[in-house]
Amino acid sequence: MKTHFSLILCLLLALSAASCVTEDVERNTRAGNFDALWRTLDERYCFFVEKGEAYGLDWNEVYARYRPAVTEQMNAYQLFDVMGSMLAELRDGHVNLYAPHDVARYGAWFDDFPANFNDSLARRYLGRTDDYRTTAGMQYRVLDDHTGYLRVSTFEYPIGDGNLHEVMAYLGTCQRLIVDVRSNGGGLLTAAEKLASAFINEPLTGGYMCHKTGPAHTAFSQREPICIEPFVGLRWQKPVYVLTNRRTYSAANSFVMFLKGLPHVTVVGDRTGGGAGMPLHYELPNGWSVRFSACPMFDREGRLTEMGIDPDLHVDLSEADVARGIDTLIEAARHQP
Amino acid sequence: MRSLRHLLLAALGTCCCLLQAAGQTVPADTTTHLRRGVTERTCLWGAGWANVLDTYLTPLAYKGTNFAMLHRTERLARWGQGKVSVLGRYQLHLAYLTAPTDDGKEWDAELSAAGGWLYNFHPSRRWRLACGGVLEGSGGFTYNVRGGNNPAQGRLGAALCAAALAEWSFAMLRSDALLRLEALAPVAGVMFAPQYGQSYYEIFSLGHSGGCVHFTHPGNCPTASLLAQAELPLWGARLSLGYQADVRQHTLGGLKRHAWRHTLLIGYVRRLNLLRR
Repeated sequence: MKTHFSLILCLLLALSAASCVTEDVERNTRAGNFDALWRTLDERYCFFVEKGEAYGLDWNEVYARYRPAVTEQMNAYQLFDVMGSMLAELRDGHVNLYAPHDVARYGAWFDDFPANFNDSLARRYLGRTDDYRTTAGMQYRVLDDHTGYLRVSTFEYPIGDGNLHEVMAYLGTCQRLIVDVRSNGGGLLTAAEKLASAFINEPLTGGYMCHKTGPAHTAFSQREPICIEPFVGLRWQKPVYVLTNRRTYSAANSFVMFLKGLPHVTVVGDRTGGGAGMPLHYELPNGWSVRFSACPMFDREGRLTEMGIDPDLHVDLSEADVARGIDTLIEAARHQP
Repeated sequence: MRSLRHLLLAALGTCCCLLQAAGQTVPADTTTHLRRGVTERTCLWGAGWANVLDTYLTPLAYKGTNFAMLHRTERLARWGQGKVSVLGRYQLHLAYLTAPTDDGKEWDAELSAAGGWLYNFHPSRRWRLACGGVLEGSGGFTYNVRGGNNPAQGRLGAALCAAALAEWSFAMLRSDALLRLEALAPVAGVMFAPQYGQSYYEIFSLGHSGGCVHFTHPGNCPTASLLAQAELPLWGARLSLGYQADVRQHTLGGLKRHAWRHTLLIGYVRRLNLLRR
């Protein structure tokens, strides 16, 4: 009898160990999708603590405020509007809700501030199409006072060693270099690292990064350094001016974070837009997709750069200069001693 | 689901016919069980159904069509007095999956190779039972077309598996045939898999891969593979029909994954007398 009992017990233990691995997902209803979105952010978003301190964000209070607005009778567009409004409470450009008809996004981080960038002016400095070179998403030319101008409007494209070597070789005779990352919305962090590697001679700790380890708002892994190795080819040794505005975001924000504080680097322009959380995607039961900041980054001093990085030299684009066809920020960089 | 049910009913009906055919003829002296010096090689291809969940990518279970290729080799070992056989198994699964709402798509692939030894019992001339240990290496990825910085999830693992086999040989249409049921279940192993919230940028670009290697056991990795196979004579060749239930699951690093695959297979069997110089 004892033997039989033991055998049955062992069998039960084996069966329980071999149970199905499944995930509990909310039902595909209006309320279910709202709850799924709130819970996804609650468990995976990485800046609750910092934003609670900065402007009093309370995610539970946000739920209590928006949840009553959700009913099963509302249509998908209305549900999307409620969800989008809830996500805007996070004040994060990396937070989006993707539905078939629209993308919910937060834009006050640049809408509420001067643009400090005029595309027509940038084109005047670059010249006509055959006046400048372009590679890996970068455009560059030598201005008439031996200033190198490197316009980096995106980090969406990988920058190869060959690309970077050619840029450095072409601009090598210049007395100073302007790296214009205004209105650069980011892209590949590896591209930002690669470009930064041309301006250092020793391995550099560009900042720190960690990730969430669980649903709690304070559950994070240990901060690990973002180590940048010097570029193996030609490296820039002369003064560098990095132009920024409020739309310098995400990987471009990280690029500024890597370089700011280096002896020969001056950040000129406006505060960057931030975006210091590497975003990840997740899905809701109705098939909509949500993007959110998941892996926070910190600068060399351990400060969060989610709210942006201040320039060394604050310069705004003046309307008078725009009328004269002059970019105030570029000129400020060109006339630095 | 309905088509799968019809397929299973058809397979069951075929088995009944085969069993009836087996009863009509008298077997020869020999059976198709393993014999010394003979290597049995089975190649199977098939298609079926897959259900894949990977909470690194999405909380939704994706479902779709699974394609599989399986190669199985078995021979008696040169030691063990004819009671030990050497088993080798290689399989590739490739699935194209869609989300429950059909918004997202996924590709899932899994390659595994296993090799080990089985101890054989022969309760009667027609029956062969075997059990043993197999070392399995596996790797694969799941790619979700909607992901940004987390579009794919990779995995790489090795595990010591318990293996069991039951085989019944019978005569059919004046020749010999065989039914086999084979099960593999990992007992202990290691697996590389990212953790909750960890990005591949941290792992591969920054080299922060600590904590990505996990010890696996049936508690956190309840996985099993069942292969049912019928080996039938067909105009001098040997046709093999099979069904595989491949259930791979784990709960590691705060993330869950399951890949349930049901595949109907068809192929051939070759028995080779390999002569040694």
